[in-house]
Formats: sequence, structure tokens, C-alpha cells
Amino acid sequence: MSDYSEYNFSLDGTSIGGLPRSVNLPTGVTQSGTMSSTSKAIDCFAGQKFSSKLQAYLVGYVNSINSQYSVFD
Amino acid sequence: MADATSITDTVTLDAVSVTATSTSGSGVSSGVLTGTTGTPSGPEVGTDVVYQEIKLYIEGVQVPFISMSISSNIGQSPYAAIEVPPQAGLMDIARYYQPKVHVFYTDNILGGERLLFWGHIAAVAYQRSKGQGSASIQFTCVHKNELLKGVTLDYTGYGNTNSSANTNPSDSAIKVNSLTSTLGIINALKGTTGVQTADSDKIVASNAKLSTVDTSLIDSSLISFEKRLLGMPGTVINFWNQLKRDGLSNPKLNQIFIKLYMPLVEEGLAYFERLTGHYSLETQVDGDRAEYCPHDVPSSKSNILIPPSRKINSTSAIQSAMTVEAIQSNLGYSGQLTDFGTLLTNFFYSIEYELITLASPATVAVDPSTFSDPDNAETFATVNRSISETIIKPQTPFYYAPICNVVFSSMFSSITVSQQEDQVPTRVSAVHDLLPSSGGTLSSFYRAPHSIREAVAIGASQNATETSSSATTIGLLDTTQSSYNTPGKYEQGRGVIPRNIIMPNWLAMFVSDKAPSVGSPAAETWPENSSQKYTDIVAAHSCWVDRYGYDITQSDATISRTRNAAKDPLDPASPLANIAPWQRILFETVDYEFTKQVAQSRSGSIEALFNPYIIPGYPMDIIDESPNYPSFHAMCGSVTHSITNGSISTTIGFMAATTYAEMSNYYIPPLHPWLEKALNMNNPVYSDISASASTESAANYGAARDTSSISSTLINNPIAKAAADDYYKSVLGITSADPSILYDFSTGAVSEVSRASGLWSASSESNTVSPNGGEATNYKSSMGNMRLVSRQIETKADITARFNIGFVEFNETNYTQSGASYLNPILDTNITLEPGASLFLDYEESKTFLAS
Repeated sequence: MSDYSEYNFSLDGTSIGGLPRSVNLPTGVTQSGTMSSTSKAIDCFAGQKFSSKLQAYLVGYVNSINSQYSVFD
Repeated sequence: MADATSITDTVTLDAVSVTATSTSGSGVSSGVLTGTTGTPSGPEVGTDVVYQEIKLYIEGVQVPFISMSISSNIGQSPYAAIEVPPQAGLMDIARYYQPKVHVFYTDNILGGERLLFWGHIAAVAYQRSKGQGSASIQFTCVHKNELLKGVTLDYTGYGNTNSSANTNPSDSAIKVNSLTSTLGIINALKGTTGVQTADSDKIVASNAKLSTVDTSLIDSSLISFEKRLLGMPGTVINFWNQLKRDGLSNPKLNQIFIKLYMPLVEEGLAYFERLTGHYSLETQVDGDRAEYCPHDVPSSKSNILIPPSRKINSTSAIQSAMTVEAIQSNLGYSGQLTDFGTLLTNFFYSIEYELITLASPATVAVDPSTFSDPDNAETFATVNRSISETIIKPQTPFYYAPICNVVFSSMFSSITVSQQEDQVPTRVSAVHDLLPSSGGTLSSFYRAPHSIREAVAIGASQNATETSSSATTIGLLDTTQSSYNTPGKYEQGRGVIPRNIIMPNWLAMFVSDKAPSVGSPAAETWPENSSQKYTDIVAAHSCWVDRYGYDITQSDATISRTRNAAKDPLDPASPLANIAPWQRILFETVDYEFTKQVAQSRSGSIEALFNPYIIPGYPMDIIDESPNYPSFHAMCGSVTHSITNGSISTTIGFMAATTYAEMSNYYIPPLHPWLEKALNMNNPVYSDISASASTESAANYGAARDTSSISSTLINNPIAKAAADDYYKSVLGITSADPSILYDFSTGAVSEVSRASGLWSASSESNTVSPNGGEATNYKSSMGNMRLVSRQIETKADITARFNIGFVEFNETNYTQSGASYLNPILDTNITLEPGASLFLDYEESKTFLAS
């Protein structure tokens, strides 16, 4: 049985629940040149830039709800 | 479980290729756009079967959605409700952060992906019904400009701002000392007067002369938009410059404003680049300033903008004084906390302007004095462009509609109109308990409409004749006291339905303190007989006489008009009225109040095709092709797009509806006289064209001239229509809709129109059929109708270029089988977060941030 280590799960009981531990970023997205370059709070608020961390999560969300496989959970 | 073989590696976001830095065109400032906006579809659209593509992006990532509604209403910013498939953790994206939301549609007429909504998530809701087997997450989104309400202004505490005791107890964005003082408002009413050139002009902390900078000079980065900021829109910049000056003068006390909100408003939102007024009108406002020198402010005179609602034909200091007083009484925030967005809204409301935010901003030529053909994609691509997102405009409920606000017969499926006639008053009285009337009694009444003033004047005359041995001349002033219980002419058939407005307290003190009495040389001066202003005065009065200067005799069989010059002094705008200038302003104000009461009476809604072009806050026309059903002219009040996977439609709410038949029989309720002049509404043709104004005697100054015809309504008024075209070209990039070419008022039949270069004309299209057998005449098909009303809307490409952001599309190119896993380092088990920290943002330590 897989130990899920390739997904960087923490199985020692100290992990924070509620969010997937990691997301799958398709190669096409990461190489498209369209993702944001920052997740700095001041850039995302005052500069109205996109948060790359949130983009990564949303790409994973889109991938999972549209995937032929089950929701990544 | 995801297929483990598709995840080959881990990745950090640093290694992800990002949006390349864009470069704007050479020689133009940031915010000026160039390049193609899209490729229009051909002249034939074939069938009316259309697939309308809508794309939703959250934080720049295209996300599937279940349903969506986007709403725009008069007096509010646009907002949206979006329903998406649920996932554990999705609700947390809006926790302690405002994820950006963009909605684009594919324009089937002009081509390209264009903006339907731009905002951020403000609220999240989750619902799940096990019985129905449904679940979804709903995001409530507000327009991005709502962030202006975060610029909170604290007026509490006065005195030495350097004192440590005078810090910011309310934790507002900025501590404001004098923004709504007389001086602050006078400064704001200077609008914009030029561009900062010298170092001593710049509003930066390093400027040793910062405390005395001229706040009417705009930053050099806005030089391309200078013309768009003339007139009343310039007051927004001026207010902002005052805030910057105050904030940067005490940087240690205003770090919230300096570090967060200055860059947000100026760069993040690019608020001022996307702000505009109606250039053809605002240049006239800007060019017709008045001096103001309040006796309690020991400074030199200032030339300030006077809004149309406070303008009169004569030259009088009262215009500027009443403007400042009215604004200050509305903005009196001493001891209170408010915000910049609310300040602007209240400021413009107090001068009968409004600030509207377009959910689908218009793309227009950056130079508002030019017009680029919106129907020619090649030439439009070569023009330097700007965006009209926030529009500062006077309230004009009864005016020409822009062509984008016309709903043709093939564009709507149902319409409802309701008419609350018993809510329309027969008379409106503005009352003040302490303002003495001309008769010496306390309390005075300013009444509308004209027929009521005329009746009250007759009542006063009858009363005076009974109590006086000699004949008494009665004028407009005598309508301000008792009404003598006199019914107005049109109340004979309806009874009396009064409505009272209470005038503000400050007015009585102001009048007694500052207003010269009637006839005093200090009260007002009139233009020379030979001047254009005098010509405009005579034209306006001649049009007034055409409306009200006749006795009309009616019987079953006949109707006749007999000129009655004794009525002429009842025109409040005319020199013949012999009233004080402040009283002219009050009469005009109450006339406009009656206009607003009429406007509220008839409302309705339309269920229509998806229509991204229509704009709430402007007049609209609804055309029904059958002469058996009425067509309407109305004011568009709300637009809601409802989108699901199976349907898409637009619901339009409107008010102040009049039927086209009604329009041909009534004068439109009056605009402010100055607006009527500025918009060229009054167009008399004089009988004796050889008569010269300069030969008129002083006794007849401003008297009406005999006319052979009058055009002063929306119908058959080509000069006014041309002015309306100019009014809309600079802001929306299209022209105005002339009811005279939409509808044959002699037969009651609608007329076909065609479009070329953004302008309509009586149709010259012969009935044509497309190769697939579909209808190719624009007037006769739904998509053809949409082509007639289309306008250039901001594109996704322009947003990407200006704001240097990219959008991750949901397509096979991006969502490849191969990928890499990414772990957000915040989710490291050793780190727990304080409530307030978003999981998706990187924060600097405060010491580092404040030192930067």
C-alpha cells in the first residue's frame, strides 16, 4: 500500500486539516507564463496582483472537479 | 486517488514561469492602451442561434461555475453572486483576503473577450441538500472600487497634528484636518488646472513646500487623461491630492494611508486613469468658473467650478457661495468617521451630480475631443485608448438615450410597466420656516410647477386688489407667501396632491447674512446685449414663453393660443423676474424637484436577450415594432445578467417611463436652465431674423422675441441631438438615439434604422438574406439588433497589458496529464497562524514593512 509520501502528507497526527496537503500543478499551467510571480500580501492588496499560492490551490481545485478521477482529498 | 504516475516531481512557485513584464506603447503614459480590441463578425450573422461563452476567473484562474448573476443599479456599485461546485477548503480562500474575480464574455458582434464584471469576493456561503443531492458554494462579490471605502477618514480631534496626543484614535486610514472645511471645499471646487511640472509642485514627502502645494495640479503620470479630468471630475483628484498632502505632511501618523491605500487607489485600482466626465459639458463647466472670496477666509480670491444646478444666467457671487454652503452642510463630518468613497458620493449628490460605475467599462479614445469609429476595427486598433469605468455626470433623468441603451423589438421577450399616478404630486413646495417672504411674513414657499406659481400669483393679485385702492402689480416674489388656497390650472381636473420639502436650516442665516437684496448692484450683473450669453438668455426665455406665455382656450371643438405678455415676469431665469439671484436658484431647485417626483412615478422591467451594452444611470428607449403596443422612453435603473449552464438573459429595470405618444404631446420636465443651454436644447427660429439684439432697449432687456418655430424637446431637435452625440462620444464611444428617427410621430409606426460609424440613420438597408437563408437586415434580427446597439467594452487583452496580470485558461494546453505536486509551505505542521493571516499570502514582519 502506498505511503503517500510522494504527496508530502504528514501522517504523524500533527497536520492541519481542511485543505489538501498538496496540489497537482499541470506542466502546461506552470510553463504557460500566465501564473502570478508573487504572493506578497502588500502586492496582492495594494498592487491588486494575484496570489500565486492561491492560484496554485485553484488550479488544483479546477483539476480535481474536472478530472475523471475522484476529488483529491 | 489521483494517478501517481502523472505526478513526476515537486515544484516551487519560484520555478513557475510567470507573466512577462509588459511594456506600454512608446510615448504614451501608463494606462493608455493600443492595439486591436477584437475582430468583428461579418455583416451577416445568419441565424439568431448563438452560443454565448462566459468565463469566470477567480484570482486569475478560470473556474467552472454553476450559475452567476451580475447586477448594476443606479446609486450602487455593481455586484455579483457566483455559484461554484463545492470542495472542502474552497470556502477558506476568502478568509482574511479578498480574492479577485473577473467575468468575461465573448463579444459575438465586435469580437474579443470583454469584461462583464471585475470585483472581489466579499462573502461566502455553503449549502448542501442531502435529499436533493445538491451542493454548492456561493461567492458574493463586490466591485473592485468598493475598496475606496477602506480609505477611512477620521475628523476627530483638532489642533497641532504634531502633538503625540493628536494621534489616530479611530485607527482610520488617514487623519484629516480640514477636508470638509470651507477652505477644503473651495480647494476641491478648483478642480484641475494643470499638471505638476516643478519639483515644488509634487505631492511627495521630500518636497519641502509640501504644505503649500497646489492641489489642483495633477500628477504627471495622468497627463494623458488631463482633458478627461476637467470640470467636476477634477474635484475627485483635488480631494485626493488634499488627502495625500495631509498624509505625507505627517507620514508617521498616516502610514496606513501612505503604505496601503495610496498605492492601492493610484496603481492597484488605477482609479483616476479610468475616471471621466462628459467632456463636451465639463469643458463648459470648467470654462465658466466664478470667483469666490468668503469674508471669513483671509485669502485671495479663488476661481471655482459651479455645478449646473447652482448656475444662473446672470453673474452673481451667490452662485459660488450657495454651492460651497450646500456642499459643506452635506459633508459636515466634524467628529465623525467616514470614507473616501462615501465622501465622493455625498459630495456629488449635494450638487445634483452622480457617480456611476460601469460593470462593463467603455473603451474610448483617450483624447475626449476626438471620436474613433467603433465599427472599424482597423482604425480603432490604431487609436490611443482609455477606459471609462467611473463616470461623473449631472443627474439628467429626461434626456436623449445613448444608442447602447435602446432595446429593440427583437431584443426582449416580455415587458411590464406600472404607473402609480396617485403618487405624482400636483404641486411641490420647498418650505422654510425662518426665511421671510417678500410680504414680510415669516416662512416662505418656493413652488413648482409653473402652473401652480401662476395660479398663486393670480390669487395674490385678487387678494391685493381687494385690500388696495389701486391696481397692484404681482410678480414671482408674491408666489412665495400664502397660496391663498388657489388651485392650479391642472388641479381643476385632479384635485390637489401637495408635497413639501423642508429647506435646510443654513439657508435662512445665509440669506440674511450674505445675500444682497433685490435690485442691489451687488446682487447680479447681466451680460452685454451683443454677447453670446445674452443670445442664450433670449433663446431660453423665448422657449419658456412658448411653453407658458400664452392663454390657452379649450372647448370641445377648438383650441387656441393667445399671447399674454403679462406672464413673462414669471420666468425665474429671466431678467424680467426681478428677484434676487439666490431666489432664482431656489426656484430652479424646486422645479427640478418636481421633475424628480414625476420621474419616480412610472416604473417597469424587461426580460431581454443577454445584453452587455446597456448601462444603468442613463436614459433608454424601448421600441415595440407593432403600432398596437406602446414604445417607451425611460431611465434605466438596473441591469441584471442571469447566467446558468442552460440559459442566459438580462433583466432591465427602468423608471420615469413615458410612452412615445406621450412624448409628442408634452414638454419634457425641465432640466436645470444652464444644462438646457449647455446641451443646446433651446432652439427657437425667430420670425424677424433682421432684428438685432443690440437695438433692444434696457426696459426690454431679455424679452422674448417672436418665433416662427421652437425646438426645445427631444423630438425633431437636430441641434440638441448633435449636442447629445458629442455628450456620449467621449465617454461611451457611441452616439445618441434620436426618437425622431426611431418612430414616426405622425403615423405612430416605428422606423427602421441602420448603423454606420457608430451613428444611426433612417435605414437604407434593403431586405437581404444571408447565404444560409438567415435574416441579414440588422433591424429585423435579434443579433442584428445587438449590432445596432453595440459599443466597445474593455477587453481582457487590455486588462492583461495595463495591469500586468495573466489569466490561466482552462484548456487542454494548460491542463496537461503531466504535472508536479506543489505544497504550500504555510501548511508546514510547525507553523500555526494567528486569525487574520491568509493561507495564501506571504507577510513581511511589521518592522521590515514599515521601514520599507
